[in-house]
Amino acid sequence: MKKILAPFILIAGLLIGSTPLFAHHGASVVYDLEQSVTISGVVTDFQFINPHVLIFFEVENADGIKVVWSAGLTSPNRLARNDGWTRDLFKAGDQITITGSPARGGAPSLWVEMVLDGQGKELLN
Amino acid sequence: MRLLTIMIALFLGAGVLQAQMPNSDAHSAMTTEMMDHGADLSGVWNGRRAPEARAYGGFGFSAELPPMTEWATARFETARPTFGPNSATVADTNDPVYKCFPPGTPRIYFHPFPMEIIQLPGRVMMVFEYDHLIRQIYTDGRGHSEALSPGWMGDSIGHWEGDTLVVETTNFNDKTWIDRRGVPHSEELKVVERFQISDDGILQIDIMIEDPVAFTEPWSGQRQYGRVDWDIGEFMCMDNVSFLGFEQEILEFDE
Repeated sequence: MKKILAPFILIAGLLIGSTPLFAHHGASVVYDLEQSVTISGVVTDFQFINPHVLIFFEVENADGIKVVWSAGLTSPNRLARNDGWTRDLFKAGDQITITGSPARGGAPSLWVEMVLDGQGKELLN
Repeated sequence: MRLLTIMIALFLGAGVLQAQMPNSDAHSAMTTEMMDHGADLSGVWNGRRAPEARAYGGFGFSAELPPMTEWATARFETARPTFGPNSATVADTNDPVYKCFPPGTPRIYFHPFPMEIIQLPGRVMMVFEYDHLIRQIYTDGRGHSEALSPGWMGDSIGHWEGDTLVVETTNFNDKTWIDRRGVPHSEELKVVERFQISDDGILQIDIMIEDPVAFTEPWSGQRQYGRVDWDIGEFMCMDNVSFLGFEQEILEFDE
């Protein structure tokens, strides 16, 4: 029994013991918070979840290739209280424009500063 | 059959009535207690930060460090917090809260989520949105329990001095930090809080911190809360684990 469990305990230990649990405080590790870019696209998925709300949106690059970008925000309860967000705010196919800090390693991902809907309305206070 | 239904209904009804009796007593006791001291702390409260505290209010009670003993200084120097002048990255921190241990008292006040105070006869409950932590502050005249193992949030006993709730909390383990920049404490920690609502409706918590092992003298800090028209929601620490995969994918991205 011990032999069977050992690898699982090791993996759990690595997960809890050595990896960052609060990525929002480590956002500067993943994202270059000094930089800011604005990207428009079409929403493919909207996850109104803890600890961070995530928006996925498809963007066509200069070569005509479609790339799915991700965008991370604060927690759902803070967005609901401060900005009036709900879980139904976006649906697949919605136009969206996001300004945020780009990922340091070049991944198609942003740490969000501002979100505009298809009509150009600012959705963050 | 109808008779049986009526009998069951009467039986259940009697049960409900019986069950309501203590509640009814409890309500009148609460009313009396509230009239006695004239303060009602109940409600949902969100942290407020004075403009002058903007630079440090997220991680400490003041810009300066408290008066630490050699024992505490040695521990402080090994702390790798994610806030303050000595901050480390999340990957390198040894902050116990990043392993989802409770932040402790008074550090819980530095986590930026609201809390609800529920005032009951003989007991004041603080329900924190962060990790749904609860503090039970007994105001029924009992003393500190001798039967508790050292705890993360401590054992809180309160009493009213006029409209001020005075709470003494002891029985801590030494695994938490006082704040978010790594100031340590020992199991000798004693926290005395004074809860008071100002004329403009602000909840002020004056916090006196004593620990002869960690500090050369008692010192104090203050936190302020404003009433909000919110319900306490969820923010569970372990949800952060689910974010790791998302973050890892971005870190490991290779064009």
